[in-house]
Amino acid sequence: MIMDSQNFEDRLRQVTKPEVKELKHQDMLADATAKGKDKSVVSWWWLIIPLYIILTLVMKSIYMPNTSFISNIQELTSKQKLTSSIFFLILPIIFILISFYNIRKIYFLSGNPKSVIFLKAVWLDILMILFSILILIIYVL
Amino acid sequence: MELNWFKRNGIFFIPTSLAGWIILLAGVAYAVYTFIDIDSRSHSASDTLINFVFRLLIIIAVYSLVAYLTSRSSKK
Repeated sequence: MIMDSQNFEDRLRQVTKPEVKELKHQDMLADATAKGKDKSVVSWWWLIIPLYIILTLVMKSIYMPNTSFISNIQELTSKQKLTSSIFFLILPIIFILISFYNIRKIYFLSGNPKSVIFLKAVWLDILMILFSILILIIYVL
Repeated sequence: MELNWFKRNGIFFIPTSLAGWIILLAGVAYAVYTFIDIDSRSHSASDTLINFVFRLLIIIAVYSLVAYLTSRSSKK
């Protein structure tokens, strides 16, 4: 009887708690980060279009005499109302909203993250917001 | 239903199925057609390139949107 109880105690010592190496919210966080990057890539391609137009207008203002960047932008917005409002107004606003939503989602899933780690996860979204705001400012000018 | 037509690699979407390759080839064919069309109406090489790059960016943007909607997440 004494031997049995000792064996039992030995066995109890060997038994360990089951370990959950990855928590569910960590999986969700990794998923949100990956999806956010995929979205950002698509957004980048769409943002390149207004950025390209801005670049060509800057070149035009440099090489064409008696023209300025502002006047070129104003000429574009008056001649191409629909195209310019899509690329310079609607798209940047959509991307700002998408990026904010993504940052918010990552912030809540990571639960009080350290600023450096959090910035590493969302730097692409922040850059996207900055470029979108730049395009909006240029359009409003 | 989750489609696996493309896989993201950096800033590009690579086709991983027949449907994906058909979309890519259609995009390339349309880009070539656009280039020939613009070139026939333009007055100089820079005129062709400036107009073609704009159209090409739109084609790439539409392609990336289609690829994003029909691809699995890069995490999986």
